[in-house]
Amino acid sequence: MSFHEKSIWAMLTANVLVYGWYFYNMVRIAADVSVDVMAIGVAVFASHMIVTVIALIIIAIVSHIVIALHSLKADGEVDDTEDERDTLIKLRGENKSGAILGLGVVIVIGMILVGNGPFLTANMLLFSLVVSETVAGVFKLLDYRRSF
Amino acid sequence: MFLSFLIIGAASRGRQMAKKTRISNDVRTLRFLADEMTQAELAKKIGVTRQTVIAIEQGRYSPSLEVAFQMAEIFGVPLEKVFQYAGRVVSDNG
Repeated sequence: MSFHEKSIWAMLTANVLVYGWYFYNMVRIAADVSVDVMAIGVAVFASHMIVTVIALIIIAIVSHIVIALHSLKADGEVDDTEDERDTLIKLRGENKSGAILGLGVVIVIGMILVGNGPFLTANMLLFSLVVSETVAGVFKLLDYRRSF
Repeated sequence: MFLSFLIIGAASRGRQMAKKTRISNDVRTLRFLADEMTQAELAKKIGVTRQTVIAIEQGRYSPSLEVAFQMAEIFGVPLEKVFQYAGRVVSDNG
C-alpha cells in the first residue's frame, strides 16, 4: 500500500469518526425540544466546531507521522512519490466529490428558500462537504484496488 | 464507516474478478530477462511507484504513452513487445 493510499485511509477514518461525533451531537441538540437552537446555536456550533477541527488536525499529524515512519526508503527518506496513477485517482475521486457537493448546495438553497434557519443551513452545508469528501475517499480507495 | 470498509474490503477480495484493461503486457517477463530487475528498480527508472508497476503488470492500469515508451526504452525493445492491445479487429472492409 502506497503512502498516498494509507493517507486516504487515515483521513477517511478520521473524517467519519470526528464528524460522526460532531453530527451526532448536532442532531441530539436539535432534537431536544427543551433547547432553543436559535438561541444557543452559534455557541454550540462554534464550540463543537473548534473541538472537531483540533481533533482532525491532531489525528492528521499523528497518523501521517506513523504512515511516514512505515514508508521509509533504504536511504531514510519518506517514500511519498506521487505518480501519474496517484494523480489520476485523485482527480477521479474529486470529480465525484464535486458533483455530490454541488447537489448538497442545491438542496441547502432549497432549504433556505422554505425558511430554514442558519443553524440547520450551516450544518447541512458542512454535512454536504463531509459526505462529498467521504465519497471521494471511498472512490479513491476503490480505484487503488480495481482497474480503470 | 462500516459500509465503507465493507465496500473497499469486497473490492480488495474481488481483485481477481476485477475487470482488466484491454491492454495486455509482458512487463514481468521483460523484467526477468533484464537481469531479473525488481519492480522497485523499474519503478525508480520510470519515475512511478512500485504499486503502479504492480498494477500495470496485473493489467489493472494502462500507463500513459510516456511511461509506456520509457519502459520499452529501458527494456530495449519496441513498444509492441511490451504492450499489446486486445481490442476489436477492424477489417479492411470496415
